[in-house]
Amino acid sequence: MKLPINKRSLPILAVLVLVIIVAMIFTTMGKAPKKGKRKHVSLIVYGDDNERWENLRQGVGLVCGQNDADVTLLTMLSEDDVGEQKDIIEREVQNGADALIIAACDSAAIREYISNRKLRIPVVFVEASTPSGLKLTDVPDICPDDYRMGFELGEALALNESDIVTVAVISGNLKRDSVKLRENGLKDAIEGKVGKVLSWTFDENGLSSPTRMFIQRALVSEATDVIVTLDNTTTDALLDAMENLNQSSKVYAISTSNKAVYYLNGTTIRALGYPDEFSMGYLAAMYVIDRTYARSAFAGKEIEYRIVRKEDMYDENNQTLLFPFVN
Amino acid sequence: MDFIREEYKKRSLQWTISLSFTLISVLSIAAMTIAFYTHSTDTIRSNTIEMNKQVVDQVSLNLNSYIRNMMGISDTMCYSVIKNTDLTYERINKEMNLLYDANKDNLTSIVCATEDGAIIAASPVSARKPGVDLKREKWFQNAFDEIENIHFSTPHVQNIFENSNYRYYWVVSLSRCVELTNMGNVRNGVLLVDMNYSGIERMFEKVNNGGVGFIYLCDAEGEIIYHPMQKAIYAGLVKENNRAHASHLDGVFSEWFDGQERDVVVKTVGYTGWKIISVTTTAELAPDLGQMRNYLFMVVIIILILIIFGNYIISYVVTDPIRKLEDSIAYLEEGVINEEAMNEDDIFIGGSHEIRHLGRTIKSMIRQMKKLTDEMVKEQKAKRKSELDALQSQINPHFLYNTLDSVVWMIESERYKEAISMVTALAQLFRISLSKGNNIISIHDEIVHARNYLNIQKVRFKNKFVANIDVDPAIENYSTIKLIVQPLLENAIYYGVEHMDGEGVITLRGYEKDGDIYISVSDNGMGIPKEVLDTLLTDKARSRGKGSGIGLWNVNQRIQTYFKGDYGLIIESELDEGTTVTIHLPKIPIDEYRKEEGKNEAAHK
Repeated sequence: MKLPINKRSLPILAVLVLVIIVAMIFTTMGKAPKKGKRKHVSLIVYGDDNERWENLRQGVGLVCGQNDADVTLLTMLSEDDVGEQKDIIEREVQNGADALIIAACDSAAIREYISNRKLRIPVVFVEASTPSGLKLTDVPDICPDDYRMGFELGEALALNESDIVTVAVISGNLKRDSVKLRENGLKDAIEGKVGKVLSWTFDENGLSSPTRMFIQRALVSEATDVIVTLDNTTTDALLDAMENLNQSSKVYAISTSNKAVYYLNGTTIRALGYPDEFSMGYLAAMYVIDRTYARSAFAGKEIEYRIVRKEDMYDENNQTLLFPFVN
Repeated sequence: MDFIREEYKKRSLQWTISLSFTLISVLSIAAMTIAFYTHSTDTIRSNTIEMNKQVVDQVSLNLNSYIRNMMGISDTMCYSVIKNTDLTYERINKEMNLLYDANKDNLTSIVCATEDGAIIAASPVSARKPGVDLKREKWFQNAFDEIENIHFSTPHVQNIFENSNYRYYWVVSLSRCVELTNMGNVRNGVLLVDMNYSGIERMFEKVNNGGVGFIYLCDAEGEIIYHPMQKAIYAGLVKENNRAHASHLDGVFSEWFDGQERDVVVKTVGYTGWKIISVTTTAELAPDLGQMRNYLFMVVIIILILIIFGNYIISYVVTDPIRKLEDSIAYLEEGVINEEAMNEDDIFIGGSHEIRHLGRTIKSMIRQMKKLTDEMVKEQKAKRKSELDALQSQINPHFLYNTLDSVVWMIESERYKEAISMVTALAQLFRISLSKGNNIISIHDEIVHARNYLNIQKVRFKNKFVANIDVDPAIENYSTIKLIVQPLLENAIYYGVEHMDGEGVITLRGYEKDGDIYISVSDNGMGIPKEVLDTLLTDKARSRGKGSGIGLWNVNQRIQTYFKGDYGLIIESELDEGTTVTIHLPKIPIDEYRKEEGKNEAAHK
């Protein structure tokens, strides 16, 4: 019998071959998410305190856990060594990190570095790294409205204190745009509503001990009614300094450290600005993981923050923010 | 749709069978696959639900045991210690410390306070935070709501005592109203047992680490006690349908929530009214379902390929004999159109019994048709020959009248010798015309006939023309159709030389060339115009009447009827120079022809 294949059979054969190819592609694609290798997300932060970033790490970890990804928290030896943070970024890229989440120690320098480096992996900044009014879209920030947070802390201060008090604003780590924005907001809020505003600006050296020494010297050299700090390191240094000097001043702070929360429960800290770093980590991780899996990613949501006082720190909403589930 | 229908109609039988079978197969397989896939999906889902129910039952047992243990501590303190102690004379710290030490892995603190919020005893001993008013605490207030019950709080940070190193504790508080005895007077107080929240957290984390879906815990109102994404829920990043879940009775149900289909198992934890809730999204089953779907898809594709090939081959085997039969009939039709002979042996006979039978029937039919057609053709041919022959055999009455008139005139003028010669010629003319009924005669006889005719005409036309006869004697014994030269001579006389001013010359030649016989009649008349010449041998010549060359057409037709091939007349003419009409005949010896004719007649008889 002659083989029953003629010109008319060719379209049928072509369709069959096509169907097989489609089936194979379909099968391969169907298995891809299941068999794909685990992603590695590097969370690069400033400072040497792992616990300080616990909320952020939990947020990142929750998303990574749900998306077959591992997260590595990488701290620095100091607070503001740009070179060290660049080295860490470079090392993680070389080690095959699939995504970077960066809390920049020097916003402008690290952003410029990332921009020049033209990395092919998704990168996102947590905490503000973009100067106010300038929006860069290539590497997004996931952060609260730092200016507004500083402003609301200033408003709380102005509301609680008399209009003749002397307020010392401890300025440090201003290379971090988040701190700079908070300070601007705070000063705008208290301008003309308090007696005198002192700026205690210390040289940035990235070490907490000299910062504490600087604050101690400032505390004994200048009388002040209210002291304001705008980041974790400075707040903890101030609280240590006050403890050392056995001095009690009213403190208004922005910090997420356990120490700050503890002193809020006492009488030292009168109001605490507390950004939701868990959400910051969660959304940052969501953004980079989505980008890693080539899904549409959105990094536009603004992070919540609260100005908490002793009276309301155990409110249902506030206690979940101030006290992470870590025992 | 009409286009598809039209295309479908145009398709071959094989295509139709193949496509129809394939469509039926595809539909059947699709239906079976969907049924199988649906059944398997349901099975996977129900297995997962069953597994989750077992896990929930296990967690419920563990949690119940844990809570019973905590309640046991509370009961022991309440009934064995506080109730039997007059606090005026005795302290309860020792028993409280003993109980705390025995259960400190699961406990954060035990506190006994008066209804005014004053702490009577606490374990572990720690400094009370300044400014904390117990009466404002929810667990404290709950204790007086239903004083016979133990009340469970939702998780909260314990904020009664100072903690070193900035530590804080998430606890779930068991509070109850107790009777405090002071100097025999009984007044209400509150006993608080703070369960370490991490105990519950660990219990649930363990079961959430494996398997699909997740399990969470909420109170009777839906307040979340534990959830693997608790912080994300508190932060508003993730939604949970906890209120609705809490309102459900124990059991299994499905829901659509936040764009996902989810299977939910609800189990109430005994005394507390807490709900253990297992949630599995069908998307989480997707890897298993996806693998099964891919496997099914591949199997279906392979089966379909086999079916399509099978259908194609079966339809080919079934329809190939029909197609061959159709092709052979088409070939036959083509042959008939091209006027070739029908050959019934070309009909294909093969394939199944029915098709073989059909082939044989068609073959038989063609044989009958062929027989009938042959007979018809023969009859037509004979009839035509007869008609042409009869036409040719007719002697022009004018010719006969004129000839006889000439004979009479000769006798009257006593030219008896010429009259005898003329009558003799006429007699020979008639004799050859009859030729015993034979239509095929020798060239010799035909030339004799021509010569007699010329002789008669020469007398009639008073030697107005000269006739030259030059016939190769070698061809005289070959065959020719009778009376085909005479019409040519007649034309040469009447249309060639009759009206000439000078003497006409008519030449009759006979010769052999290239194995064929040629007999030509030439005149030196006025010639024939080209437009007339072109139509002389066509059918148009028949309808033009006398003097139109009907004789030539008739001669040509007779030659072509008797001898197939390129035989017939060739007419060449030049105006004012003359015309030559040549008869082209096959070279067949007259004896051989007669012999063959005899055989055919015998066969026919």
